[in-house]
Amino acid sequence: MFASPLIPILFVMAPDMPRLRLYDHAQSWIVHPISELVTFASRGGTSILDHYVLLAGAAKERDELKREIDSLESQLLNLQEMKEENGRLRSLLNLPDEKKFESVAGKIIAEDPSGESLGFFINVGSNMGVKERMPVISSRGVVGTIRRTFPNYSLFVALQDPSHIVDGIIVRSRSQFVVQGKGRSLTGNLKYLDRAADVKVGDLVITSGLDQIFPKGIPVGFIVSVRRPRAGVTQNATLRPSVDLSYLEEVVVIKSHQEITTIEETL
Amino acid sequence: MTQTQKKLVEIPLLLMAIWIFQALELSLIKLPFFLGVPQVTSMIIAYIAFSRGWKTTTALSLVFAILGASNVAYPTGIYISAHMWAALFTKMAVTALALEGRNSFVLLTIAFHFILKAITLSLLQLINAGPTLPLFFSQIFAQLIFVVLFAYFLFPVFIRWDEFFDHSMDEDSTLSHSVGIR
Repeated sequence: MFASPLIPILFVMAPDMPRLRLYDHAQSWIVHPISELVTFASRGGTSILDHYVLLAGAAKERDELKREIDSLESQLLNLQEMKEENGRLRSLLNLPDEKKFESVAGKIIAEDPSGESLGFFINVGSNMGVKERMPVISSRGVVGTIRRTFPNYSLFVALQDPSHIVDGIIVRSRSQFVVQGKGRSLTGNLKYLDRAADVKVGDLVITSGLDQIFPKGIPVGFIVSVRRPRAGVTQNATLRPSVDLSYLEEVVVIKSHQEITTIEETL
Repeated sequence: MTQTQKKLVEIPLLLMAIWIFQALELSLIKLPFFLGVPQVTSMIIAYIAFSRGWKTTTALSLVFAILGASNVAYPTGIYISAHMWAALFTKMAVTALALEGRNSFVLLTIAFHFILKAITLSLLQLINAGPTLPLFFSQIFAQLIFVVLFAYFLFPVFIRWDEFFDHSMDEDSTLSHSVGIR
């Protein structure tokens, strides 16, 4: 009885103890497929309700979307012209080409039930080449980093989690800092931000690539508040991540990324 | 069913029940805004502290804590130790107050939930992880409704399980036969 409190102390001394791989894998073969099935079934039910039952306002929405498509098509034309021009200038200056990623797409099937972390399960695992510390992104930007892997599933921790950090820069001023999650789904903190750095509300933050995890140039979020304390060498800023976890269903895991591909290499 | 057959069936049956519950915890039973849910393994550990002696509580809380920590993102050791300490503190309360019955179990589970969350947060702070204090408190209180519901409805299930597998006759069991479900 008196030795009982000592056992938990051992686990605290080695918090990142080797996991019980065999048990983890065994339960992963049963627990994760069931949760995947339940998630997709519940999403399917919601989708049927949205698409076939709650059709009020659909016609109005269609007209608005048509107008939006017209506007986006003209923007796309401009962008294509700019892309061609950019390519010509790049070849003239011999600048590195676009980034190349080797990636695998996955669907979010579940959340970390403990609630302490912002962890999510996706339906791709080590069998698909996913490993711990690999970056997870979506079409809107940085999502998180892989924390655990199972044969067919993985668990990633979101950008908003306090234990997640990513190196970022501001697109406008190129100021560099570390983005750390605040534990809430809508905000992140900017750490080690130089007091002299030029930061304004609305600035876009992208990955710097210096953390050796995320490739450079992926959107992280927008600055929503800046506060300069009276003393100190740093300033405080808060960021709103570009990815909203509440609406996230599909993500991409970057297995490897090649940042610098010169024109000669491409040729 | 003979006693030997029951013993053979019990562990796979328990594992299957836990895994099905865990699958539902991962995908279906959850609070909005990523507030999580109390895990079924935590409920089982609270019941073990309520119904068993010190030795069994220590041993089984370790086993169930390991089973429960398989789906968490943060280091497993923190969850295992938090569950074990919460079980031992709860056991102290049970021993000191001589608690019995369903209502006492519900109150005890609430206490277990608070102790568990407090220890988990304290340990997570050591590795610069875990939620902020306001989020932590909103999480604890939001999960409370699930804790009460789970404790209230699972208690008869636990009692029936013990009766079926004859655990109330165990040497280490502190359940009296007159306790019943009430």
